[in-house]
Amino acid sequence: MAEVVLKNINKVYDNNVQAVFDFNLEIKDKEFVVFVGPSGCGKSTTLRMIAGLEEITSGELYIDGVLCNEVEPKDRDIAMVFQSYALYPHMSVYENMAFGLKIRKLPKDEIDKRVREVARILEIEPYLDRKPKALSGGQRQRVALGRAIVRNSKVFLMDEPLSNLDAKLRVQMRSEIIKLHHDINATTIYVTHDQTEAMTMADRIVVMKDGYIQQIGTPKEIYNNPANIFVGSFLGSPAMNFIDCRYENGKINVAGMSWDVPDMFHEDLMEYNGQDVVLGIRPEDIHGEVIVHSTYPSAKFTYKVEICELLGHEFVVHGQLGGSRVIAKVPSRLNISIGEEVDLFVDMAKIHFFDKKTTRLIK
Amino acid sequence: MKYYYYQISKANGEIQLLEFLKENYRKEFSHTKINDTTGILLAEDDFFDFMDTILSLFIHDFGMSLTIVASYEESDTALFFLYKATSLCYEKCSYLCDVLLMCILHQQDVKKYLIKQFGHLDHDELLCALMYINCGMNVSRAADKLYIHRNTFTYRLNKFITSTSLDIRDFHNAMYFYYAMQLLICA
Repeated sequence: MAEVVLKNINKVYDNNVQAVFDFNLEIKDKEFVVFVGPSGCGKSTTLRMIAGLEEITSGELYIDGVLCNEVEPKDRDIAMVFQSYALYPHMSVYENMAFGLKIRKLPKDEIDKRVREVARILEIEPYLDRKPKALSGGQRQRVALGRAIVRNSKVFLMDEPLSNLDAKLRVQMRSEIIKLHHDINATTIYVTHDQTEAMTMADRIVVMKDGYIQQIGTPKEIYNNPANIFVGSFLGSPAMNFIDCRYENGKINVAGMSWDVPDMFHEDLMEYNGQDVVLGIRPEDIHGEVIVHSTYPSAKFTYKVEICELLGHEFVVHGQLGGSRVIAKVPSRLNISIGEEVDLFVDMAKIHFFDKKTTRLIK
Repeated sequence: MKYYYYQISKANGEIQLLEFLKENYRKEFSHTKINDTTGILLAEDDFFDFMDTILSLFIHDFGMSLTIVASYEESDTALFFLYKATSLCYEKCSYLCDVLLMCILHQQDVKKYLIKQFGHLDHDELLCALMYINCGMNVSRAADKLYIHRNTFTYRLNKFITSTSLDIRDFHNAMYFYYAMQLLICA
């Protein structure tokens, strides 16, 4: 397996559109890194540059310490899994898995050994003689993964491999890929626009927007300390609430209310005294229980519930606070209903402040 | 049958492509080489679906890029659109209409090729073809709109198809003609 290093990578197309700006990342051996971001953010372009399917305009790409900018895709020792579980439709499962090895002219018995071993790991041995059309979506996806695994590649690249699966199968395949990664321990780069996939699968996440890296970190780091408003809003479902407020002498003014800001924020907010900032609160950090109220007595608000979604163990309630839509997650035992006025309490230890102009986290 | 113009990233990469097709497409096709990286494959309509399905796999397995444009005729215009596709529809299987649309969206100058292709046509035949598209490819409605008998309309439409080789009863050909006319008329 291998380390992948991207140094100051830029991609500019012939029509002068720049898709990736100064991309820097060091991926450790055996690491599972997820590139996540909305459509057009440059994540697939970056992946294709690593695969050698897209030329690197400037910067350096190292795979296992070797500069690979000019190395042919087939010589990079990379295996790629595509969207829509692409398979050769006219070949059997066995032939599909063996094809990449066959054109590399590996001995037949070596190919056979590898294909059968991988088929065993993926539990697709009974289907080796079938054509892809005779397989279910999940089985096809496993074969597509198998095509990549048999190559014993240093690096695995996965370009939204689950995007064409239905929701149930996607969840199932997600855990299978995680399990597979633990079994084969390959350095893996996974591209997705689905934040749930990123959060559940990654060792580290690279959040991208408009060709720029917004933040790199473990799922926990990124979730708990988003670098800017975009990252805060992109990861987490429902998204983080953002409320305009004014900071003044250890307090914030939120929709006419004055909330005490915990001491731990005072130093960071010192230069914003008397200025408008953006307050970020995750829906799960707004509580319905009075017990939170005793810790932060001032951080309380009342709003009229506009939408109330019961998810079984909890309600997702929507309402307005000072002109901003605020979503909270509260336990279903609280029996909240639409139109009701409810008291909610903010866990002030878990709030975030963002600079209104730069949108960056204030820290 | 359609003409599949291709461009491959590796010089003489067509040798691997042709070997692959012989072994896996398993239907008749013929090949004309234009230069070391460009050529034309003449094959059935289903060749498009075949290539579209396996293109990403082929590119990855063989480590070379491949861009394909399906054309109804062998012409300089088709070759021109192939070259456009290598930047606008890179590593994709596209119909002429797809590439033309991308050219329009990217404000590329394609008019002189379209004028060369459609500029010399008989007015009545062109009008028939346009009305056919505008009436959702419905012969009766189009004939009614032009106040001509259905048989006259069909005769003129067939004449258009014969003189241009552009069978606009095919959806993708119809789209190509529609975009071309929109561009020429708007211009």
